[in-house]
Amino acid sequence: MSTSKTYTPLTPAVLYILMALSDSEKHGYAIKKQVEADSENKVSMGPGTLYGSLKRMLESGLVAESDKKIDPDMDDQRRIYYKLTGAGKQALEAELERYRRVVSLTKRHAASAGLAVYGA
Amino acid sequence: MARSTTARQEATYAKLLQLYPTSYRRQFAEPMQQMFVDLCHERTQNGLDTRGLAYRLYAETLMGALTQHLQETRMNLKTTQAKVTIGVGLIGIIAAIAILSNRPTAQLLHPGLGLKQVRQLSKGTKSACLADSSAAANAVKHDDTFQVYKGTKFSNFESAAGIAITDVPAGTNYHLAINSYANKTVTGTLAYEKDYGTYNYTIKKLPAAGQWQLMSIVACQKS
Repeated sequence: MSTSKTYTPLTPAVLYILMALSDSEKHGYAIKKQVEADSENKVSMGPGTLYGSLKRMLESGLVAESDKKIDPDMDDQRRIYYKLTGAGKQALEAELERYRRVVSLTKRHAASAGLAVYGA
Repeated sequence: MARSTTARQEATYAKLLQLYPTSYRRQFAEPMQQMFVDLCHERTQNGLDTRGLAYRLYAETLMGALTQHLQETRMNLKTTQAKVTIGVGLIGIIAAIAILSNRPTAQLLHPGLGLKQVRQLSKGTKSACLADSSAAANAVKHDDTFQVYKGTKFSNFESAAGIAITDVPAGTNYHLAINSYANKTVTGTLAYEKDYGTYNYTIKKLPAAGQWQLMSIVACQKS
């Protein structure tokens, strides 16, 4: 019997936010910039979308608020930082594993159909 | 000029943030405003116009506020539903306890109880039928009043007892034993003929003249 928690597929916004926070805690604006960089500007979130997603993620325990502090690369305003929780890391790993399985399956089907597979 | 435009846009954005639910606004209005300023500042620094961005973010804010209100309403409904469910559950438990705790002793009657209901209420009880007491019968007779119908005298007490069970056919004979009479309350046994059963009753004398009220009735076993 498995005791591991199962996670339903994440929305693109949640996935990108989790990835943005995977290496370090960030404030809202830094999360937005990281998401844009990770998605090659294909995903752009305004404050409404970003903080709406963060609210749901805070409620479900995927992220937590960190301290308010100054970003040395920006102005001297104190900003709320967000960090990944243990549950957030598990959800991200589960989602990435799901993607890996989908990619692996796609490669197999593409190979059997004689299609070119990039990155194989 | 550009600075005043940005200031105006920031003020408009701050006003739009007021559309969010209070709890959301308390938590996120400040960082959202800060992010709006950051985004406008970024475009201004790159020599770009901020109007397109501002309008896009206004629209996003309106949609976001609406979404948050809908979510809060849904949550409140769930909470209300949960409260109603718990309330109904508690009332059900209290009612069940009240019914169960009343069962072994006496079944309070409301006008209109039929044989089936009385038998149902009597399930699980083992009351012995009560014996006649001439002293109690005389005391009741003393307090009783009578009415005459087509030349025949009817006891109001016996009439109240005779209609204790509503669906016993009219004309069915019964024997009424009076066991005790204290505090204006009569206890005794009502035995119908045929298969209509034998029941212990409690009948109370009401203050109004000629008025007796059946208080309880429960099937009994003859010794």
